[in-house]
Amino acid sequence: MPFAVVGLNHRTAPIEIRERFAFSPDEMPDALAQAILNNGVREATLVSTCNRTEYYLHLSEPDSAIPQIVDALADQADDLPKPAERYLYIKREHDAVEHLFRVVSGLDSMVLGEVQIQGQVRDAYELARSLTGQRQAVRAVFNRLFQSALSVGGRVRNETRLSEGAASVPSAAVELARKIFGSLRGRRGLVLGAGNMGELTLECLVDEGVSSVIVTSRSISRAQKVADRFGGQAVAFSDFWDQLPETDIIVTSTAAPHAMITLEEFKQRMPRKLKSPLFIVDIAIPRDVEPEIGDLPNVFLYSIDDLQHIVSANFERRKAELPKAEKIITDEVDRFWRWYTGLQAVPTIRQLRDRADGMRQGELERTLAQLKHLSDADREKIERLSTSLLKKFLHQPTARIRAAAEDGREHDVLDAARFLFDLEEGTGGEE
Amino acid sequence: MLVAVYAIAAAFYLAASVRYATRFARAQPGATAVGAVIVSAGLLAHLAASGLYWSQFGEPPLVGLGPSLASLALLVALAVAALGLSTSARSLGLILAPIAAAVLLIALVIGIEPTGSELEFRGRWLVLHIFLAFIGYVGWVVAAAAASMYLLQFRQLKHKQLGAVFEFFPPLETLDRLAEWALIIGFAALTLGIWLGWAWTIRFEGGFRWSDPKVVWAVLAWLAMLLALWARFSRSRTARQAALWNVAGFGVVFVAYLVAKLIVTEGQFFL
Repeated sequence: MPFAVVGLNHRTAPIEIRERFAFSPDEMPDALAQAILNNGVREATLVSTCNRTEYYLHLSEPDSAIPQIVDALADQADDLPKPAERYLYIKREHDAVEHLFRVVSGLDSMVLGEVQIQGQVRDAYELARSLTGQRQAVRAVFNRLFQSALSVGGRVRNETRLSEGAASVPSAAVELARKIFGSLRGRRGLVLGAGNMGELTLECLVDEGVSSVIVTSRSISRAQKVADRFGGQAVAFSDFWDQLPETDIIVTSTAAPHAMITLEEFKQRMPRKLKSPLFIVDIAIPRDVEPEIGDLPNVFLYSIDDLQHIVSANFERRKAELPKAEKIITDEVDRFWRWYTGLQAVPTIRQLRDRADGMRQGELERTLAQLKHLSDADREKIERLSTSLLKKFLHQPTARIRAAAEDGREHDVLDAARFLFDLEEGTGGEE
Repeated sequence: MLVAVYAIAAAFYLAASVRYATRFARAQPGATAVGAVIVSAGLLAHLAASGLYWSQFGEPPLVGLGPSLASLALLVALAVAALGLSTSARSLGLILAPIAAAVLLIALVIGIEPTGSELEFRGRWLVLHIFLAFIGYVGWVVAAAAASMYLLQFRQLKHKQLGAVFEFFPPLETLDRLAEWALIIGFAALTLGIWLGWAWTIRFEGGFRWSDPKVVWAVLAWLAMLLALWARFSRSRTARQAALWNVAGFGVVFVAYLVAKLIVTEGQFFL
């Protein structure tokens, strides 16, 4: 049972537990090296994100290695309300490979089809690859496994629409802003009320290039804090109207019990017709912006409900793509598994080739000793002939043995080959 | 042979149109480069056909309804291929590729061959005059396509109906800029083209040919473009209003063209 994944994710543990298990980027090389130094671990990769902490393992002795990994995770979490095992899952063999492929494809993510996980797994793999010497964490099998996983992630994203469309309220706001303004670089944003959702939306907008940010809140210190985070400017709540005419995007998320931006005041404060579009994202409940403002020319007003409709529609669309994604994953797991089981044949094939080559060399030396009159060129020709004959003779049996192993018939066929050619039982073909 | 090569080009344009329409119908996010690549393949065939025409008849395919429509289609296809270089603008092929295909097919039905009539205004100045005028018309076709897409996208965003148009069409800002630049380039080219024709008639005929319907129509098109530009650069107009003026002006000129075609049946060597 060589493959296993040991870890936890957003389904098995709440955020306050997940963050205890999480490894910082600085901790990860040592944690991974420690795992590799455990008995029975051949290869390992550690994926640690806000939604999951998982060790992917290629094991020689699963029975002793897995408990050690569980202990390492429990040590990392420290002082948990319940035993660490309550939050952890262990998947083995086929299930472990399938789990990795699902993770990379975004099927196991909190937001179905999210794309960041692919980069996070790639980083984890690169980190594992960077360890060398005694701490070497990636060899032939994990190279193949993770390259296959990343390729599966790419296939799922290219061949399905699983990652299309905004999957959260802030990203829906960004998607809309992009459809109005094209690039958001250099756009001016105003945030009214510095709540969590408002801050998240602002973060997404700034990531997309919104460069000038004005933050206003009842609490100027809170506004200042948010403004500082995004290199913006905090203004007093009473002054936000002065900022409006120069603004492209407004995000409102106050806790006010009534509308903060009324149609009447909006018309008074913005008397001239809006020449360029104004995008208003009202994510407050109750709403901060009177809905009639959305009827004004060049104003695009979206409430939290509108954005959630978009997210829900996108989610449904993503869900409809699941069967296609599952099919790709199943096919690719099978393909990887065939390759892996095919490796069982490698020691036998190697022994067969070595044995045959030894015989070839022995016979060649004996024959050439009797043909001393031959020139060096002729001797070379005879040697080439013997090598070529041997290769041709062995090609079909080795291909058949490998194919049989890939098809899961390795025991019968390898036994037969060992019996016929008098070979020993070998292991560690993947090395 | 000539007709076959033109037909190959038309087939490519049709194939590209199907490609654009399929992605749009599936509400996929924008067009990929594939549509533009197919149009570019058609463009190569179209250029080969134009070269064949030139070598066969000793003049470029600019005079006569069939040849001039074929050349107009070539310029529209060129615009689609050029827009294909920009990720955000290549969705315009949804409208422009079928236009290129339709115009070329009409030309094929009419017959792409010289009129056989002797022209007074000949030579490189005539070629330049027609070429500039065609760039002007194609500029306007592109501007009108971008403006109509702008109006549709605006409507979707305003009414929160985020379907195929929202997904496939470019952002409002991109469409607005495209319409603006296409209009500016088209207007500049048409102005030069008309000026060249005017200069020739003044020099050799002593006055403008106001009795010539194509001259009247060209001047009408020029005036309509001027109005569309005025609407675009007027301080009081929004981008949506500019788009409305653009589409309306184009519609008026197009209808005027159809009416002129119905009324005037003889003596027209160009469009």
